[in-house]
Amino acid sequence: MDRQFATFFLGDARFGIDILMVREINRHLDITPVDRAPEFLRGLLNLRGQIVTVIDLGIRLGIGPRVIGRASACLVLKTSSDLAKHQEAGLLEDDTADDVIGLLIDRVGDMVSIDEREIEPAPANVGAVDGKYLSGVVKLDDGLMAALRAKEVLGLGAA
Amino acid sequence: MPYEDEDLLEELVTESNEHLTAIEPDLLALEKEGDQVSSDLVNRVFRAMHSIKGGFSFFGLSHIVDLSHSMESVLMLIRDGEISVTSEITDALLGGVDKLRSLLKDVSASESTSIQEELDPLTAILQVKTEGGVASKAASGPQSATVGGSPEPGDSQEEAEAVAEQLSQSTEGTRSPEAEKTTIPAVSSEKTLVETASSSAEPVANNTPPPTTARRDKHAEGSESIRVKVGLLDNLMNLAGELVLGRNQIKIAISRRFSDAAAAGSALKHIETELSRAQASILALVESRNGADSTAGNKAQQAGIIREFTEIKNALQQIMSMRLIEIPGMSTVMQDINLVTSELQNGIMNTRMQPVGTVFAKFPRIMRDLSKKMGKEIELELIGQDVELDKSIIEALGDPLTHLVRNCADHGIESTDERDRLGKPRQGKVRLRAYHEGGQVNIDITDDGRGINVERIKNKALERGILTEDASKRMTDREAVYLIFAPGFSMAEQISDISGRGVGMDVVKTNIENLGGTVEIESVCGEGTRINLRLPLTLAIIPSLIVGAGGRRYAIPQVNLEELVIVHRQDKDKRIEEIQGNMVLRLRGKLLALITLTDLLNIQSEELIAVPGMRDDDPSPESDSGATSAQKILILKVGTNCYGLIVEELFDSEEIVVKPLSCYLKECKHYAGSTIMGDGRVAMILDVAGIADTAQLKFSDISDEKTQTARKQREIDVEMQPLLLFRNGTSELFALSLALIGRIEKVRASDIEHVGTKEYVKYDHSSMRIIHLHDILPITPREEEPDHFYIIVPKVVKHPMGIVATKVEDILHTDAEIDQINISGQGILGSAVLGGQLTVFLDIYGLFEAVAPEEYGIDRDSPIEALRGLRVLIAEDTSFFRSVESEYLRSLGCIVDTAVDGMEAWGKLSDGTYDALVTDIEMPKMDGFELIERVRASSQLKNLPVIGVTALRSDDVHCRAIDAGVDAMETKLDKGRMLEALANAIQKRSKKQKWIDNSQPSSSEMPASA
Repeated sequence: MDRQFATFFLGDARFGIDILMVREINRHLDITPVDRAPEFLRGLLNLRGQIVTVIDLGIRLGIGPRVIGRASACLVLKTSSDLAKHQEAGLLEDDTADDVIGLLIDRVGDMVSIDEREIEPAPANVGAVDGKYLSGVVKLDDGLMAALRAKEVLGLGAA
Repeated sequence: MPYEDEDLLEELVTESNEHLTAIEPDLLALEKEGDQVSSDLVNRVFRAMHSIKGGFSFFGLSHIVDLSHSMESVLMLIRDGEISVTSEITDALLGGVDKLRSLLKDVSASESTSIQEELDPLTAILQVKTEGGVASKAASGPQSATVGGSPEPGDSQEEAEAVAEQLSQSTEGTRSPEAEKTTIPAVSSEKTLVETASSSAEPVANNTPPPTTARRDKHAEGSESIRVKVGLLDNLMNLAGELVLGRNQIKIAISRRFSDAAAAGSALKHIETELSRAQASILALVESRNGADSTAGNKAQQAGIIREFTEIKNALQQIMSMRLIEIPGMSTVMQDINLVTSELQNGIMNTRMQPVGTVFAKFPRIMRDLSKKMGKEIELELIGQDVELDKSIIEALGDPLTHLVRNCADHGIESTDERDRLGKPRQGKVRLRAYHEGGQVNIDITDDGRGINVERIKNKALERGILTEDASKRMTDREAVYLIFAPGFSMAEQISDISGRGVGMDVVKTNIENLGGTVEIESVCGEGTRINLRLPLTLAIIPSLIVGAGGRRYAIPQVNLEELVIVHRQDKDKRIEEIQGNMVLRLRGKLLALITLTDLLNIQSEELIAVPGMRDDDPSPESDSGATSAQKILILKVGTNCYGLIVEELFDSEEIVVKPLSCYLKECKHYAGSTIMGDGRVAMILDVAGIADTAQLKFSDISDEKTQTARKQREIDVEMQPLLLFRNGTSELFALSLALIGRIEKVRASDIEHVGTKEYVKYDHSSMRIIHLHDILPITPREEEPDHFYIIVPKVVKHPMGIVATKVEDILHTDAEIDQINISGQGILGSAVLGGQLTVFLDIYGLFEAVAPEEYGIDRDSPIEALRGLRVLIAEDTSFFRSVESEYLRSLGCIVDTAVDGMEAWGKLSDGTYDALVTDIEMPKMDGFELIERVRASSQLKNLPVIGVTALRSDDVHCRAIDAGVDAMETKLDKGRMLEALANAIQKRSKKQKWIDNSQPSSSEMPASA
């Protein structure tokens, strides 16, 4: 079975996330910082009247905070309840949060379609990124793509 | 029979639950009536039970049907007067109601739940009555009894009802006659009903399905309402919130556009003048050179230049005439959108409003059970059931209220014997009262029980380690009472199953605070306790003050804000000091802990981002360097304590839509939520209690004895009066009491519109008339008209007019004596020297009356007119208020006498004759409470109309004054209301007097006529 991934970059590292979990990608980055919040919480964003909690994916994955540049974007995830139907249909194992969460990324990449069998299990770590944050690794024509495990990245499963 | 239709069943359950809720109070009322039950009441309960039974028999749910049928049979006996309602019968019926409720919670499990325990007492009642062979009569009774027996001649009401009953009975009857006959004797043997009912009901059910009957009932009651899913309303609410945000953004965009256009306009104007000047000089130049050498070519060239100039000028004029400044019709459209949005939002909010009575309704039952259980006699009084609150608040209110009411019954009210011993009425009283005040809903829970014993509380707190010995000594009684809110504190001496498990008051407090409310408690040992809950009307939208710190904006709910204090640099050392390493603010003799918002939030300076302009309607934002050196301090209230929060900037107040906090921020107690500002950016809402916690503020730590005694003395000695000082374009200084001012607006001179001789500005979606002081008072007119004015908008007047000022000087607290002789006239209270300058004190009412007597003057027919010529005594220790109140009364033609404290007033009252008394509450020597009590206790004066006045509205004072016997409490300075209240009191008192006089001889007739 083929799965669709939205790919994006943090620095030169390429990541992907199952398109079923993505609500939209937004370039509007007027983020209000929140003081005394956890470090990885970059701030809050107004997305057409809904408040998006923006996570600095760089800090979360341990590869350093992101600096907002011209190509920076916010990848807004669907909420957990949005995903219920996909999970029930067996299309998705991963999960997100009850709140609307956005991931701050450096650059948006292509959409790729990947045969599930091509996804290899993630090693203990990929570069500086801990393997627990990844659901697998895929070799594309022009390099690696690490598939994110949103549940772990959002860190809400354990809490 | 299988569940044919889940929806129908669901609807039936909802409806039945409503019936159950409705009949519970009726059952309690029936119990009270005992022998003489009103047929209305019984019939109502009977019908409710009947429709429950009918509905569920269609679904074949035998347990529900059996139970409701037995209850119905008992009710029938009551209605027919065969049995009278005893407490056992009520118990049995209430037990049935409870059971039905629990069965309805999970209908599908109802068949497997035993109902025997509830059925037995009902059956016993029925059996006692039907003993001696009439069992079958009672069993088949439903029809025959109603059809034949009950209508009494001469009572058409009851007859009509009986007929109605018959009708519904017969529809039902045709459906399951078997069931009706067989059930009662077989009540105790389970299951019989359903089998018979289902077999016999099936064929008939097709003809008259019971849900239709149920529907018809519902239509008859309220054909104007429909059921809407709460989720849908929530969604609409959310959308309306978005619309408000959208509107705000448009408003900002438009006003920005306007100011841009205005700037462009003036730039064009500038170009035009420059051009004209250039044209003139070129013309002159051309003229001067014409004589010398004027070839034809030159001439043509000159003419060309002139023509070009003219063209440019024409083009310019054309652009300018396009009125860039205004988009035609825009402001009207904007106004409409404004209005519609607000109304839409209100409308949707109202759909979520429910009367607080829905929560109150369960308390009579709870109280009945409790008092029975504990052998106490308690009367429960419910007031204000119509007061509405948001559904979510209503829902969350149930548990805390129940806890508080139980507490009253358990700890508050003494046992009957003890009350006897204490000389209190045997019956204890618990009162639940809901009322509106200041845009909030208040719920008071009052009891006349033993009150809270402060020493015992302290000892218990010491025992539990909640309090240290040292802190206990320093603690005032009032503070000690609040110890009951400490986690792990239990008030009960013995732990009963009703309360006293040590979980409770702290949870109550947390729950109420989570709703954005506050809990206050007040108790007099031996006399009772009053707990006051203050709740917002709705959770979704809250009025807030927007403040700035570290370049960010934060919202602070207006509810928590006591006042704003600006400390100028020169006063800083005097007012802000350091005690034990903490900054404190000295405010009117009190010391308040200070927290700096930037420190609290660890905002680093390099993160500073410029705040986008918020004051868009203000084209020249204040950027004076003086403002930065002044400390802006918000005085915030947490329970009974206050602290100061230093912020860097103050913006407008806004109605904000609260968005829940992100799950990552649950640990950040200093935030209450987030919101979206008018410009689309997100801002955090600060949690006032959370900030105090985060800063680890300990309120009891900050108080030195010196200030405490000083504070007590000051509070009694003088009431400082806050004044707004302003100028009207000249050196003359004017003062208005700040308490009378609603708002100060800055407007452009060009925004003032003229209609005839009157002037108006746009204010709050409509036009407001504005007045110039020099048009009314004998003062110097302005020499020049500035570009901007300040409009002072009073607040206690209906349809206020704005007073024009050119400069707002200062806000000053003073207790200055007002001289009413040197400077006087209509609209002037008097004068005083403030800070070395002569200041004219204005009387807003007099001013308005002078401008528009027809509107602000007193109507000849007004009841206030009755005050003319009366002798009124004013007891008031503050000179300022004494002058104001005297002026108000004199303007009506009252003869006014004054006293500076309660003692003097008492002396004057005892000697002279007065028609009414207006008294301050806080006064030296003898306070208002005592004065009023003395008046009421006196045989001569007990009918004297008395109005109490206070500077600040406080429930506490209000209630105490009412208890003391005042006729009404009003705010000082609010002329209209004060006079009206006085007139009412005089009228009421004189009527009462007459009534007492007249009624005494004929009082024996009273019960007969009632």
